[in-house]
Amino acid sequence: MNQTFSLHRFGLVLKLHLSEHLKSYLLGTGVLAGVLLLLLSPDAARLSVFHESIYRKHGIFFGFIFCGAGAWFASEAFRVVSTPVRGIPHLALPASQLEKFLAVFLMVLLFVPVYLGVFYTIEGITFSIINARLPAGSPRYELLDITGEYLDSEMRYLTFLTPSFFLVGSIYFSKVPFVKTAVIAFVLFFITSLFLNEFIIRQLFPHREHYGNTLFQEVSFIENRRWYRLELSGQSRIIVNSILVLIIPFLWFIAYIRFKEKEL
Amino acid sequence: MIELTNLTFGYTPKKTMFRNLNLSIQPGSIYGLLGKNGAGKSSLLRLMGGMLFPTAGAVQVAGFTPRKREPAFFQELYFIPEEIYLPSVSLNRYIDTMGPFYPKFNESQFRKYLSEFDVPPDQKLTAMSYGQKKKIIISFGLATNTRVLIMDEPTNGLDIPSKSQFRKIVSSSLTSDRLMLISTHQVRDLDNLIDGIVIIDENEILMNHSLTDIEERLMFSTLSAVTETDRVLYAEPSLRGYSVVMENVGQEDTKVDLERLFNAVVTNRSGIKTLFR
Repeated sequence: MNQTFSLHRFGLVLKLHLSEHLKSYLLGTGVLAGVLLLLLSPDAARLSVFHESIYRKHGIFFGFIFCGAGAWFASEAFRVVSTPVRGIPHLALPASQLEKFLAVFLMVLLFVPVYLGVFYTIEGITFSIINARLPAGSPRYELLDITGEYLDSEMRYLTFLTPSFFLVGSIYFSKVPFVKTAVIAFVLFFITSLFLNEFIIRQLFPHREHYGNTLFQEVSFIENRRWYRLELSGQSRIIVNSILVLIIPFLWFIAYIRFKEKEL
Repeated sequence: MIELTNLTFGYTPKKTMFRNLNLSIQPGSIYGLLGKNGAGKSSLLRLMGGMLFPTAGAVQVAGFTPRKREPAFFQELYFIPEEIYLPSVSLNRYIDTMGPFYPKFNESQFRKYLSEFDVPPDQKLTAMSYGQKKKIIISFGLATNTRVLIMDEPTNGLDIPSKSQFRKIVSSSLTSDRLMLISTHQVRDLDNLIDGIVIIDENEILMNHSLTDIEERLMFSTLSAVTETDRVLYAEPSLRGYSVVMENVGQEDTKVDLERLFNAVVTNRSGIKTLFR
């Protein structure tokens, strides 16, 4: 018998997981649909002309709600092992730690298609109502292209990073993991974006008059009334982007190791 | 079946709970694990179940190292914790989702135990009382037919008739290759059930013997007065004088009084140790 992974055992763990959590997942999906409906549907009653700016608004809603809901969902992922009452039966279940982890991890991954499905369903309904009212010849609203310009690259990256970061928080903190991980996330964000970034830019461009930047990607500034834009290119760009991408599976790995070594 | 070798464990590096603990328990018995509150009974059971990891030394249970948490190990060990959890599903669904994890799980055996415990078979698990939930977990644990069954305070929450039912069901499900280890601080619940006893106190295993062994060496009696020549190891005042634990010099047959034995072991460590050396 393979002690690390067996498809049969994984199927049993998944079946058990769904029998215990499916109801709360469906309720959570309902709440998500309600929130998105509250945010997106007012346009259906208000708009009767085409405004391209709506895509920007939808892009912001998409990113923020994804990060918020994804963070909440991921921070609840390992609640089962946060106390001995539920954790002991879970750890003592005859399945490997990898199988138990993967069952939870799969749910976190499934959040993405579920979220996309709910978002596009509500946006689709909203746009079809508005489109029906638009004057003939006017351009029609189409579903938000999340790979396009209306979702900032930083926000796109955050939608990948946030659930993974909160997944780690979920296994690290037994009590209020969402709040504790959020505090750490803000502290890290503050240190990285405000302190380090500000400090480094001051050192590199001491005579700059004004600057803007995208973390780890580019910086623009004005010096002697000339505007400069510096961005990563070539090998350095590949290295930095690779690190940013690799952080995500690294967080998954930390969560797995922490789960494997969990003591109750 | 269960072997602890120089086991050292502590929740923090500075505070050691067990140091160089050694213990060996063989199959075919029901062992009682006794100790005061906070003595470390639950921690010891969790170390055996792989929920906690030893700082040093080794734990072997049914030929497995619990720390590795292998599926094959958990197929041979069922752990009933002190506080229990049951999902919000029906009994049939519980059987359907949990049973397949245990290769030797026997559904008819499970249902038989439930009916002996008077648990209604058609109720949702979360709608049941704490005692009923406990009965379900105990019945399920017994029906998994694992080689090792660890129960941490299993009788907490059971009413008086259920406790005697518990003793009857547990003793009937013992086989020669099975070991049951029951931790409790309510020693009366183990009367006529266990055939071996482990007593821990102040991070030390004070006793690990079969009841037959204990009966051979100790006598539980009542004396009107206690004198030095009686070789009394422990005495407590009672209505008819003193209830005592004394050396069984004459090899007389007496029934082990678990409560008195426990008190004797924790209050007269050296005397008991010398006698069982």
